[in-house]
Amino acid sequence: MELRPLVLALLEPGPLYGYQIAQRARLRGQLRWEEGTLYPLLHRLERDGLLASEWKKAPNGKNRKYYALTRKGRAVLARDRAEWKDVAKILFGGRHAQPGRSAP
Amino acid sequence: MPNREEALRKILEVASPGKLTEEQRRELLAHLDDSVEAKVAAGTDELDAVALAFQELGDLEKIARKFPERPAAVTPEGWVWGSWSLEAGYVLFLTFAGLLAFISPRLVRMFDSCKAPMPGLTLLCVDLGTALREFWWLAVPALVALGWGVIRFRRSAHRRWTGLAFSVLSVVLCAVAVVAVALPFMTLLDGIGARR
Repeated sequence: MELRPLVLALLEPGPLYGYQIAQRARLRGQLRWEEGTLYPLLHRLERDGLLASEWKKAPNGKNRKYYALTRKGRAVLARDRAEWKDVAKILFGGRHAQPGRSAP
Repeated sequence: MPNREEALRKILEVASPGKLTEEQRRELLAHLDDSVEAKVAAGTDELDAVALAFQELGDLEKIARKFPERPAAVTPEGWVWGSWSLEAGYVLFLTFAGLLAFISPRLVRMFDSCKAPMPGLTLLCVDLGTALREFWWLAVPALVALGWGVIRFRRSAHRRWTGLAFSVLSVVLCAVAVVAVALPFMTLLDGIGARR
């Protein structure tokens, strides 16, 4: 599964650190993945200029590396969304907003 | 556990010796710490929580391999000395050894036939080439061992700097070998010109 749009979408509301991203992905989509694979992806997205990172104090007082979307990241997310909408249209016959229902 | 973070760090070091950079290790450690804390808060026994956190994190060897390689160096002009430099360095080093071993005997024959003096740098390279040919039974295993070292270092956290140092050294050696081969030709051409 392509994880890039998922990670970019999770970061859209604001910066998060790795564990928070993994938890939100798990809660939203009930994804079962090896959480460690998230970090190479985050580093790749940062290298490609889609994310920016910064070590900051988290609410628990510990230092965590926060990732935030860059302008380029937002543009890529918008493009990914448009592509996924097209894919969903094909898969669900225009009912991409409710992917649980099958097309007649 | 009195110092959980320290314990997690030690387990992480044992599980992925030298394969992660300090930054990557620090980030994974933070993830494990958060994961264990959440599990303990949910009522899981601390030791079980540590085991579960590592299990959910996944295969550390695989994770370490998936991290993108950063360029070894970037010049102010934007030239990137890539992460492939270790392999390129090895190929260049083999080229250097090949140049010495196979071209130097021809140079010696050529200079012997012309009875012309050889430049100092060429003499040095010819001597090295002769030694390589004479002690090939030492040189071949050494080059194979070097190749094995390159493969090992490719997966280490020090690959960037090792790659940079090794490739720069190989480029310099190759340049020296090329100059050593080119110099005698210039000397010979000068000699021919002087005779005319």
